[in-house]
Amino acid sequence: MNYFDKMRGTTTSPPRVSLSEIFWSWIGAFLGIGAVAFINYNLLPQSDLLMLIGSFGASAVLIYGAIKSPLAQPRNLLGGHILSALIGVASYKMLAPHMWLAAAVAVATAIAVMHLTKTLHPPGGATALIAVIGSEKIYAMGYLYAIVPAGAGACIMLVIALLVNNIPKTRRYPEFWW
Amino acid sequence: MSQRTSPAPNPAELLSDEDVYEAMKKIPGYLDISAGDFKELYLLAYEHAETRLYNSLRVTEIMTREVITVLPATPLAEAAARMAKHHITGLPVVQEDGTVVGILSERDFFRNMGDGSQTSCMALIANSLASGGCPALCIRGTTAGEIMTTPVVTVLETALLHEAGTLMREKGINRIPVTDTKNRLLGILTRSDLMHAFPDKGIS
Repeated sequence: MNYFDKMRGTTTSPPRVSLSEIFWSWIGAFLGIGAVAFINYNLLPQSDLLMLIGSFGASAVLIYGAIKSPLAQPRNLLGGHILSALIGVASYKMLAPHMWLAAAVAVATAIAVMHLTKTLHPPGGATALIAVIGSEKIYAMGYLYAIVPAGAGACIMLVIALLVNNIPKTRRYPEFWW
Repeated sequence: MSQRTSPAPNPAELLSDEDVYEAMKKIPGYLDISAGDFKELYLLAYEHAETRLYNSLRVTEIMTREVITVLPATPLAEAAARMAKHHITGLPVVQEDGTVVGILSERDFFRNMGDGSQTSCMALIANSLASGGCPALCIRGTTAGEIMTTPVVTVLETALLHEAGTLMREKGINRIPVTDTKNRLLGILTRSDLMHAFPDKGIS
């Protein structure tokens, strides 16, 4: 196929999911994000810890909205967030004066490492990027960022996914653990 | 039966994007794959399964068990009539005890008719029209045992399909009798049996 022909696409987009699927996606995301946000805003505000980062919104799309996807499985959710968080923090620590470079290296390396470890999880790219963009609180956490919020938040969202996604007869989660 | 036409298309190739789209609608939940990718995956998996089966199944899985045969003493007139009746172009010649002693095929007839130079039905017709005689007359009193091809290439019942396929290709033959260890006929595997079961294996 020629270079420009490739840009035209070859197939149709997948069908729209059923209303029940949409309903359960909503419930899962509400409870999952609700749990980490509640901890973040109501239990941790006085501490130096965080439980909510932007990339969890993206994880919610996958683990509550596209639960069959290989990208949404526990291995990918946990591995993707934790590894990418470590890479993000390391990039910031090593390249901080050059913020554009730290950001680019963090995301690109996170993708490469997730591929290598078969833990590709798109929100991981955001987790790595957030470690570079920060807030001051995130910078102060250092590598702890990989455990809380990245690892711990992903674990909480995973528990909700296991509990909610298996309620309807038509849904089953996960497809695989490792 | 070597008279069948072109091999059946690979079922996976018949799959349209619409088929996949409709199938995706039957599975609740968001499937993280495009119809095109699914088709590609299915084709590759199908090919893999075909290769796996071709390399692991025994000849007994697809051979024909009810074999039309003749005895060495069967007159050619009767042998030819039997082949015509069953629409086959060759059959094994077996003894009373079931032992395979040869193969009788169209080619054996051609070789022994007219001046013996024909290799096809059309060549025979041409020859016959040119000479004005019936080239079959010279083999009228002959028996199957006299013109059959012998010794005959056979495979044991334990042989794998790909071994039989390779043999047929290498020896340029269209059928292989399948025998037990005592050389008794159990069935027959034809090139078209293989072609139809495994259209992508380059057997034709």
